[in-house]
Amino acid sequence: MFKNIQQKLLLNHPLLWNSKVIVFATLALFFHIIFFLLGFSKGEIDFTDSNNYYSYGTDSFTTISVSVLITILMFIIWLVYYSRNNAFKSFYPKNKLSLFKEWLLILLFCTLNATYAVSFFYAKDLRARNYYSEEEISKRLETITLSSLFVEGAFKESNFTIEEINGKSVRVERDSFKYANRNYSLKSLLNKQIRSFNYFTGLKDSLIELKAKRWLVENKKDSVQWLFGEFFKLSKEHNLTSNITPEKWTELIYDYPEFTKYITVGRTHTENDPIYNYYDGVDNNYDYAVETVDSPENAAIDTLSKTIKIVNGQEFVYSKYYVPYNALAKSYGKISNAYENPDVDFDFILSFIYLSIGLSLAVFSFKVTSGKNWLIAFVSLGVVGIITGIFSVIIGGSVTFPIICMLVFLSLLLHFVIILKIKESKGISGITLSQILWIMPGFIPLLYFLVFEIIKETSGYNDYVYIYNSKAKQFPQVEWMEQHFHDAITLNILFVFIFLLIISIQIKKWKGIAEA
Amino acid sequence: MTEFEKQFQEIKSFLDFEDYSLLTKRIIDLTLDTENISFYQKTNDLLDWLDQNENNIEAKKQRFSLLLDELHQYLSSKPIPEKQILVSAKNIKKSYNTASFSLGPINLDLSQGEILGLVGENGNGKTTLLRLLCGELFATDGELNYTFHFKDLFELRTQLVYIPQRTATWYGSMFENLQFTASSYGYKPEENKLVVELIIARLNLRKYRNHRWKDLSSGYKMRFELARMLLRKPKILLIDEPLANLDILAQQTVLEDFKAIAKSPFRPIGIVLSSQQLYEVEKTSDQVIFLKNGEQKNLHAKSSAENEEKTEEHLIIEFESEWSQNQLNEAFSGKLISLKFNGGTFIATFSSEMSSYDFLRIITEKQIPLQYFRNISKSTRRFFVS
Repeated sequence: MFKNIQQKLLLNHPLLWNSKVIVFATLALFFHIIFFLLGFSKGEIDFTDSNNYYSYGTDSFTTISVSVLITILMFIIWLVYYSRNNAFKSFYPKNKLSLFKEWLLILLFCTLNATYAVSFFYAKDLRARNYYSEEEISKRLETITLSSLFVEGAFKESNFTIEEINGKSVRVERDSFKYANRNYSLKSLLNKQIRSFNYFTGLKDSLIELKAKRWLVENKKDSVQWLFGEFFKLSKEHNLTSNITPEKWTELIYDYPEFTKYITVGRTHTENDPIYNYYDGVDNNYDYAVETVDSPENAAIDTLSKTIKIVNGQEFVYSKYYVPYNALAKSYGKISNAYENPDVDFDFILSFIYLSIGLSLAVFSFKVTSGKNWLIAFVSLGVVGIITGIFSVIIGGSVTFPIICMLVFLSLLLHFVIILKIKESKGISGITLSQILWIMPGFIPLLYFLVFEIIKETSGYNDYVYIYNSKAKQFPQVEWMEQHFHDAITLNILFVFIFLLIISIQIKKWKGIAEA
Repeated sequence: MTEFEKQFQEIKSFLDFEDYSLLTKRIIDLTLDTENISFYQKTNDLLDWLDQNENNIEAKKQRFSLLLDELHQYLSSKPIPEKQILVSAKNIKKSYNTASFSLGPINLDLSQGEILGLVGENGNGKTTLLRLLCGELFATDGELNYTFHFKDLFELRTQLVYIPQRTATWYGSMFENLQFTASSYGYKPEENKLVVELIIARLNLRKYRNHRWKDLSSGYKMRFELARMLLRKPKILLIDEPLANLDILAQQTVLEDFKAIAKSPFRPIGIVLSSQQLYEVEKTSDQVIFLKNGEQKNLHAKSSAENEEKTEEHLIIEFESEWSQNQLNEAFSGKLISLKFNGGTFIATFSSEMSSYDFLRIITEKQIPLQYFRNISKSTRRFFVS
């Protein structure tokens, strides 16, 4: 099949045949499909997993290692085939845009070949996002978030506040706090924290917490009961077990109006609070050794809610009543992450785009100059980089290095323009052209950084010291620059394309100039 | 009689004398002149038929004759373009800051259909001049004007094909490489294979079309370079030492090929070639430039009279004999201007009143043993020995 395609390309589109992009891009797509399928399979969520720790495993490392290996191998093989015929070097006819098209083809292959890991991670998140519709996920996350108030968890308000007495900040101990015009014990459910998912904003979290606490304040027991019912529906759907019913749960925690006398409901059946537990697994063949109900109020263990079990001589603390909260929170937490904090986000894609652009320019510069020029350009640029780095450290200041880099770029560009104008001999312009192409994508970011630094310096941002309790000075320009850094980096890609379009036309003219 | 008619009569005589090898080549030339896909197909069909029926003389003659007539009929009505000057060099020089060698001043004009031979010892500037003419080097002085149309320097160099002595390696199959060149030069998909087949046959490469570069002798590598050049349709072909790796028969063949290619009535090109094979080059070239230490000496140049060697027209004979220099000096006494022994051969210079016949008469009269002789009075060979 490839042979037939190549034959057709050879007769109709020599540039495509020569670049071998169709064959290698197809191969790259094949690898993308494999990585996508692997990612999709790895993105499966185990809804029964209730371990408190996240297993990062070796998937990411292995995937990235294998993808890098494939990238390198494919790149080398492609380069061998691609460098077989150099129509440009042989002065075969080219139209104005031929070189630009050739760069686009190189970029296409480099992008496809450098992004296998992206497919993997994207598919992983996609699988997680595709379990339910976003509307359904939002609903379920809210149910779990609301329920978090009624399972074992941290309190919000602490046992002291800082008050200002006679102009001094004084620490005042307390055992209650004020909520909705009423004092509640610090141990009240109204002092519980909700577990937030990053799917929701801070504001949404506050509204969910307010909703749950209003039910309590307004004694809407049926709403709480309804919530537990919803929670149990979710549990049942994922075959998760509990040793209580929604009604029992309500009974255990509902203590209107104070909500202080409640039984703490555990977050998992395997949840344990080991006294000296260094083991991951829990042996279910345990013996009930101690089961006290009445215990002193300040005892370390709340024996109304907890029990101690001895497993193989090791003591564990178990909740007497539990719901499968951990399992739901963990699995739905992954789904929430897939929406709000996916591995493949804008920064991730941007970094791969820049990697591909870098690779494509390395290949393109090799194609339009020569191996010898390329190597000299690489070594000399490295030497200039080291010298510039040392010089910048000696001179000091954050702008020295970018200024020198930009000056180097502008000097190289000027040299190239002069060579183009004089039309006598290429001289060393094969070397400088490679360097122009390599530095060019960094020019706008360097310029942006330089302008940013200048603004910070001239606006007094660098010298500003915040004084406590005073009104903070505003630096709108600095803020603007900070906020638009991403935009600048993104727009720079457009600049790279425009620059390549212009310079590729000039490179064709430059190629015609005598070698010496 | 037009140039085409003259050439056609010559081609017809190949058929009459049943020189099918030459006839095939020239029929391919005519076929390419038509620039017509139906003729490409017909000639390819003939070539395929020949592969199977080489010994069927009667049928072969008939088929050749038929195709030749068709080609004649088609090409007779095709307009023959007027031959134009391609490049004109006026006092061009090339000097280097770091090297003591400099080339020039060189004056030359090259027209379509002309072959310019560059001869001279190694290191005297032949390659430098070729590289100057193909745009690889720039002239530090003088004027170099190409008279055909080009938009920029890249387009100019597209039309100047330079084949260096050491050619770059081709990768992949030879046939694919040539197809790539053909498609890059705008041959339509349907004519690509046909044209490549024709050019391969034109250069006697049919057996080698699927070979790899490393499996080819240097002579065949040169032929493949020429095949590629033909597909590139250059205005000027510049070729460095094309005969260097060829045996004597192949040299004659390649030079004849050059002549046929350059002098095509419909697609004439200019050829500049450098070589050490003086006599072969002189036979083929319309102009010969001898380079000595970068300076130009012309042989029967039509346009650069100022560079003509202004010497009295002596009779200069190169010959080999078993006799010693003293014996020969005595034998030619009174007639000789000089007698030099040069690498196994003698170079005898006589006054212009002497002719080759006079030289041979003395040889016969004195019974001088003679292995070889050549009148080099009008050859650049004389520059080598002077």
